[in-house]
Amino acid sequence: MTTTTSAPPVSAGPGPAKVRAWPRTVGVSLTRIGIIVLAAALVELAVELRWATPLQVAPPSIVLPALWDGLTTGNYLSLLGTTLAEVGVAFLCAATVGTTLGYLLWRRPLFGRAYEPLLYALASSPIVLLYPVSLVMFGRTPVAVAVLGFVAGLFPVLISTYQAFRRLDDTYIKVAKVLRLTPGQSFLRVLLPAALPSVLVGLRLGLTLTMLTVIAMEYLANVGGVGAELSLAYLRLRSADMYAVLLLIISLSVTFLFLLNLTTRLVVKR
Amino acid sequence: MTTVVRIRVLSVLAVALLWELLALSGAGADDFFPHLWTLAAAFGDVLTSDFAGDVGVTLFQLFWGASIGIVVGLVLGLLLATRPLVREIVEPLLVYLSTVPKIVLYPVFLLFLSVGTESKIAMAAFGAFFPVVLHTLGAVSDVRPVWLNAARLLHTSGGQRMRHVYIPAMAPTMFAGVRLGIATSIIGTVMAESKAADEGVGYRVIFYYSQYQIPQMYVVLLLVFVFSVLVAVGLDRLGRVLRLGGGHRTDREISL
Repeated sequence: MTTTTSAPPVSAGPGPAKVRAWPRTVGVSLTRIGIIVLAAALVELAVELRWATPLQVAPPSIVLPALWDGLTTGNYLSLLGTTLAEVGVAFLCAATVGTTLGYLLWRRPLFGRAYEPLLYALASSPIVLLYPVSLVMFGRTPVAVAVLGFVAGLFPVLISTYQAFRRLDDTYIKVAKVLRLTPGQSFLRVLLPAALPSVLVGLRLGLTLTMLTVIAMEYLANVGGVGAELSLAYLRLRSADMYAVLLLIISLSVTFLFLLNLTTRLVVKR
Repeated sequence: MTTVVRIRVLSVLAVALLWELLALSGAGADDFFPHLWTLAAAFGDVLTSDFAGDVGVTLFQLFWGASIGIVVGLVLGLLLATRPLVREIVEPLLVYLSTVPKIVLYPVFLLFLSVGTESKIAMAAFGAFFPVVLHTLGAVSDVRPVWLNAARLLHTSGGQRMRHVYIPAMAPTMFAGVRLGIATSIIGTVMAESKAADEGVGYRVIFYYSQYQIPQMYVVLLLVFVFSVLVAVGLDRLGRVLRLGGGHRTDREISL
């Protein structure tokens, strides 16, 4: 932690700030890692001193090997595979259906205006709570999980696609007309590239919601991949396994957000 | 009647007709598409059972959980917001933690707290905390450096700057966080009740599910949806009345 105290305060000057920027970010990252290590050490200490029972908390010295075992010899990889397959299928469907319907609503503005309030309400409604409906319809299968993930991801994609086209500058449409482009050409060369950035924002939001919903439903309904394993480990009172799966889910979410940010940055740069 | 209204009315009628046709055709499992009159009867069923008691339990947990989460989120957010270095270190940790669906922490709460009210309050509090703290941190960029410089020139104290510069400038975005936090709280509470509980609205949903009383289950879910929409609309109105509308960073309409 001492590394950051010597770092200079936020400075606006372009010259000296650039020279010092590298050690500062290193210091910040090291401190961040330090906080995580400290938190883990505190948990270890808490169990050692019996502030918490071993049933309540498994210390990192047991959880980390359990996680490693689960990944190498256990079933964690296949659980991850199930979860990712559910997320993947659900998101592909949400992306396809959402962008298509969003575009169609823009082409038929009367319908767009009629349905807009309903779509907004649905986009901010607790879709995940519909999981028993999905269970009734598709049984206790990964399909039920994927369907709910699809519904959760659909509305953000739909709305942002609709809004992306609606906010297009009229000039683009006029230019396409002046250049006598065919409808197909004007869509592919003019409208789509102009709308794409906002559509991508919606896709990102949809993907995040799909993943959250899939993991939540897996846990709640005890179906599918990593979420179901968490529920099982709790029911069997195996705290080491429970915390290992919890760590796996956190790592999955963190990796996911990291990759998402990386992709966004690459797309924005281009 | 304008065309837009006509489309809406016709759409509702079309959906009702389609639903009734599915009910008549006997598609899906038993009662999966109940007749509309069966649904109406289920409404009566639900309301005449002790549904009010379950609603009371859920509202109690929601109120205390959301309040704790919002207060902690606002205080911690403001503390971090005014310290650039600490914020730079901590914010990414919070952002990354917030992408984890909060319900996976529920088994931990069950181990530490009880299967009763406390674990649900913890879920509601965690749900509210992350959107509130992250929006509060993000709201710092609403404070223009010019205002801070002016405040310094006037020899204001730290507390005065907080009260007269930071909080007024950040309030709209902070309010957006509170709105999202309450929505997340509702989801967290009901999810937790549906997983392990013996009372509350979420418990009611899963009770009807396990008894295969599908129409009753639909009714409760419908009521939950109506409630969350009403809360969202109400908070929106409140924000406009208090002139707190239009905070930025509402890139997420919902969070789990």
